[in-house]
Amino acid sequence: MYNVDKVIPGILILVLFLTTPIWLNLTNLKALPPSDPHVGQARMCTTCHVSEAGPDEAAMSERCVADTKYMRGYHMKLLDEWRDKKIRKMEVNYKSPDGKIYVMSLQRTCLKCHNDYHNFCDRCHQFTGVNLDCFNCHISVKEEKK
Amino acid sequence: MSMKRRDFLKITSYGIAGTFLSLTGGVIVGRGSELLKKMDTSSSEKVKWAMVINTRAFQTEEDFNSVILACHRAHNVPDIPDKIREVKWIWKDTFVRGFPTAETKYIGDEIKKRPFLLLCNHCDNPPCVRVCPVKATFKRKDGIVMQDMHRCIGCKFCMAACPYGARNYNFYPPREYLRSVNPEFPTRSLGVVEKCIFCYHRLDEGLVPYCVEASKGKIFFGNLLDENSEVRKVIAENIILVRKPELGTNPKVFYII
Ligand code: SF4
Ligand code: SF4
Repeated sequence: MYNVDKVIPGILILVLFLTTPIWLNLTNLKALPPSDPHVGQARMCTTCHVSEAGPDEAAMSERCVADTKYMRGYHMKLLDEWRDKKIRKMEVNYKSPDGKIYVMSLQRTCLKCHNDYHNFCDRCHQFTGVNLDCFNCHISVKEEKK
Repeated sequence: MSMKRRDFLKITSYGIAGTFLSLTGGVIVGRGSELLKKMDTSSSEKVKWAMVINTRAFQTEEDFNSVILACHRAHNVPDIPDKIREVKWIWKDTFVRGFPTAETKYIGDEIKKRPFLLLCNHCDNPPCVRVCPVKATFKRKDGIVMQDMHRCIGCKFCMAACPYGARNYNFYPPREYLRSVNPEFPTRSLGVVEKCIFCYHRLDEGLVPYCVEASKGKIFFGNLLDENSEVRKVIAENIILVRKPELGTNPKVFYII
């Protein structure tokens, strides 16, 4: 082979260049959605128990239809069930595992606390590339005030 | 492999005939008979909601508007100025337009000119439900013809099927035409069909529909299967009309004349 001393380093540089995204990500990868804008704005969100110190997960779980961990992972499943029960099976109330009764309604139950879907729902959905059309019809209180 | 022209034509024509037979046979024997079955509520059900409108009591503009507004405000129904593409769940029209097939030649002028409140009839045998290709509209056990906005694909079949013009397509982005917003109820999106839902959400919670409440006794509401209910009583005691009875849709909105 001719010009070995130039070709081999050339190939190495090319490979390094093509894999830059991997190297860059390896050094400073942050696989987290943008942080909750409510943190640091005390008072702004007393309904969902978020203060300067961050969200109070225990209080949140206490208030919500299920605990925070479950809701984070499976809210879509729960909402799907609610929709079918309310619209097709003529059911009105939801009994949570700890025995409390809630009205099965995105509009009248969920959105009462989670009233800012841009900052609440969209924050993670955008990060995970999930496209929703819930809020084409359902309307959050924040938006309504606009 | 070679094949005679004659054989090729034979095989092809058998194939075509077979396909045709199985297609038509399938529709007539299977799907067709299923589709043409009557949809009346089975006799085992105990509740069948019905509405009786006392058209004699509706006199002033205000009588109509308070009822219409109560419904439209509560359900975030957009107020669209384009008359052809407007959205309405309950509205006012003349006798002749509401009951076009009634014999009106010798009918009194007062009735001909009397305005009527029109809305979805929640037909017992609803043609709109038959045609929906995605089962977005369906009949509940208690007879309410429901509309699942999550599933509506906006094909407008139900609008063509409904003989009463009760269904409205959202040609305009509905949110932009809201006068006020009720945060307790969702809005709709562009491209779905909507109509009166007999306030199923209120009935399930033991309340009467908004329009009934706002009418202050001019509209009766109740269970058609309960002999002692108020609706049965007023139906028995008055002269009652339903819209286009000859179509066999069995409307459950009755009009006291
Ligand atoms: S009035 Fe029209 S929309 Fe209502 S149930 Fe009858 S056919 Fe369907
Ligand atoms: S029953 Fe409910 S949805 Fe139907 S017209 Fe009356 S208020 Fe509107």
